[in-house]
Amino acid sequence: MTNGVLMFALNGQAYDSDRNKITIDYVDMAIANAKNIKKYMKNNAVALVTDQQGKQQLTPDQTLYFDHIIVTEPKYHGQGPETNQHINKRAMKTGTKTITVYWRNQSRPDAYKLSPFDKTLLLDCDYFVFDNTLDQVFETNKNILCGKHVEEISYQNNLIDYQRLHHQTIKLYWATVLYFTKSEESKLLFDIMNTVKENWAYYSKLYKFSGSRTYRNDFAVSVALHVLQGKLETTYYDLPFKILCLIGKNMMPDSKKFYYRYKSSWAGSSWPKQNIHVMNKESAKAIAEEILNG
Amino acid sequence: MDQEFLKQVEQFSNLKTALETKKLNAFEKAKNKTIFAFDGGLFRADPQTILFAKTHDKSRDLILLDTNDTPIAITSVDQFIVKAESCYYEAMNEYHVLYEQLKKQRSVKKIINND
Repeated sequence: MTNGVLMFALNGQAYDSDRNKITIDYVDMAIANAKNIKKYMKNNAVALVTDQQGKQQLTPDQTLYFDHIIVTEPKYHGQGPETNQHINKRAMKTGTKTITVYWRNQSRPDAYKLSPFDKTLLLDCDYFVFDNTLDQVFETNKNILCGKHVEEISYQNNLIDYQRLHHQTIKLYWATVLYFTKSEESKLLFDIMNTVKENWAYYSKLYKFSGSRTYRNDFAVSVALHVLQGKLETTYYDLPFKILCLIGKNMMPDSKKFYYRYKSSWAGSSWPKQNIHVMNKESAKAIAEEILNG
Repeated sequence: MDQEFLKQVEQFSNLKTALETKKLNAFEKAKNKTIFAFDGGLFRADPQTILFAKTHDKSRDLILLDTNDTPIAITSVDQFIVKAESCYYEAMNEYHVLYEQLKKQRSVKKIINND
């Protein structure tokens, strides 16, 4: 039985409001995260899914952090705008600026067939590992566990949008942390995700997230898990660990402290080191650099 | 209204926000650390679970609902208690140390820089 962590890293382009080009280096984040996974976790085999460019970016030393490097060229078959790489974009705050990020997230439903492990912990590469809590999932007899409980670390935002796809529909799962085994049940999960992706317009109307033209793995996995639960709401697939996250408009200059919007200005606090999903791209870059230089 | 008073309130409020934010994040860390796997299920090592496991009638099988509401038959109650207690004490000791440190951090700067 092989256990390990799988990450997808396809570098992306972003533009600020002045149309300046910014590179979002997910490969660097994955390298840093792999280094931390080796340091903190017991189940620390790491597989990286990237493209040819991403593979070439790795130095021989950095390659050592990965047990498997899987090269894939995502296919954008363009059925609808949501699976077209040029339209699949999202505006997000990064500190004081707003940037537009082109998301190359459409290959995530292929994780099942790409994973070299029997038991896989699929992580976003901006979900930085700083402890061993997630080792526990490998000791369960569960086939699927997906992030459900989320908290923003400044506690300034009402995250009702993070709880449900829409206030009238199903609960939202976070594909940021997704554990699965090689099993019929997991295969079905990813097959349904692919179906949702390819029929995004239909499912977005059915589940009332038609405001989102951008393909989101969180939405696809939520729909898939809803179907797998017999279209009922249960706790069967809920990952009990809370996913702590830093939202785009807040900042984390390093892994020890963070700044957040407080009333009309900024406030700050130190951070008791633990796993964290850093959505602010500049902060994710800074933390990746800190880990790699540390 | 007294501007000086308002300024003091604002400073106090900022300090309290920074303190409480750190406390909440430390508490979340402790709660995550109390989750452990046993006999294929995931459990939270809280006082209720530990006490129930310790005091249950040993002539009966111990079936516990895990965090996913799945009933799990505990094969070795003693090992379950050892693992639960170990998780609980480790998490709470760490939380306690951090909580005590916070008592000495009485400025926003000290909290941010963890002095």
